[in-house]
Amino acid sequence: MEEVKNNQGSGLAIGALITGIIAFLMAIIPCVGIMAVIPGVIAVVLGIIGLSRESNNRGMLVGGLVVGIIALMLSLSQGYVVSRFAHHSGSWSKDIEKAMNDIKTEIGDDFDGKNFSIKVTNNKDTIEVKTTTSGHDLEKTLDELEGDTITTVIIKK
Amino acid sequence: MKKFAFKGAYFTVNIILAGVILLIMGYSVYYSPDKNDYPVVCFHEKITGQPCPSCGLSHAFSLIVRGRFDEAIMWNQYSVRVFIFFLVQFIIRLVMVAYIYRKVVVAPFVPYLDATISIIMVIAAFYPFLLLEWRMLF
Repeated sequence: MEEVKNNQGSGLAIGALITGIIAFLMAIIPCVGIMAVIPGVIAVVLGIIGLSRESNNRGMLVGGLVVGIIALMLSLSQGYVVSRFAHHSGSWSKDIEKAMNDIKTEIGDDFDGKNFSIKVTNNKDTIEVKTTTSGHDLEKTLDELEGDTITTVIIKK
Repeated sequence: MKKFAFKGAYFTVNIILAGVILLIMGYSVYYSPDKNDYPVVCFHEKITGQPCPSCGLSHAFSLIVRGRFDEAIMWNQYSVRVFIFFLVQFIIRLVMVAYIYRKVVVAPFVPYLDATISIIMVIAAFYPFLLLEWRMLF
């Protein structure tokens, strides 16, 4: 009977310590840190169960429990960091998208239906391009392409 | 009886830890860095879209076991440090298993000394990750 009791305590102590160490090693590697919650919880549970019973391996049980708790804390902190990052990155992308849409709308409103003239001068040569952003149908587009023109290019020398 | 039970548990812990490290080494040998088909993904990068300090560690380990140290450092600058930790731990576990197997009674201070040395090694190997996590946290 004594032998069985010792073996049971030993099994729990080994389980607690091994899962605690694995959880700790996972928790300090950021890539898989969040996943360390699972072995961390197992280590803590095994440690508590083991300590609540009579066992010859109290040192290992306490070790497993402590390492498991540290691993759990590290893992939860990783989860917090990741969630904070995800939250911020989500709001940043939404802010950028909103800003881009606002700029697009404002530019569209400012320039819609107006005439433009772009003039480029280089020494004696000048190129002037005149155009409009007014809504035009396919017929007008065809006229433009044929040269009957809303868009005018004037070259001065 | 007490010493025997402790010795038995300590022996088992050493064997299991050596097995776990062997699995990590086997994973690094099995998956090729040239094919880049690693099954373990970075949860941090998947959720946040940002790479984390340990990204590229699997790739770097695969390169280290193939002797390509320069490339490994390029994939992850802390990879060699972490790999040395696992290698030294594996050797320590094997030595401890051999020691316990030969000795009938393990001196009580041995597991505590082992734990202390291992904690110092963990801090030395992983402190860049811990430091970066601390900075991200606060």
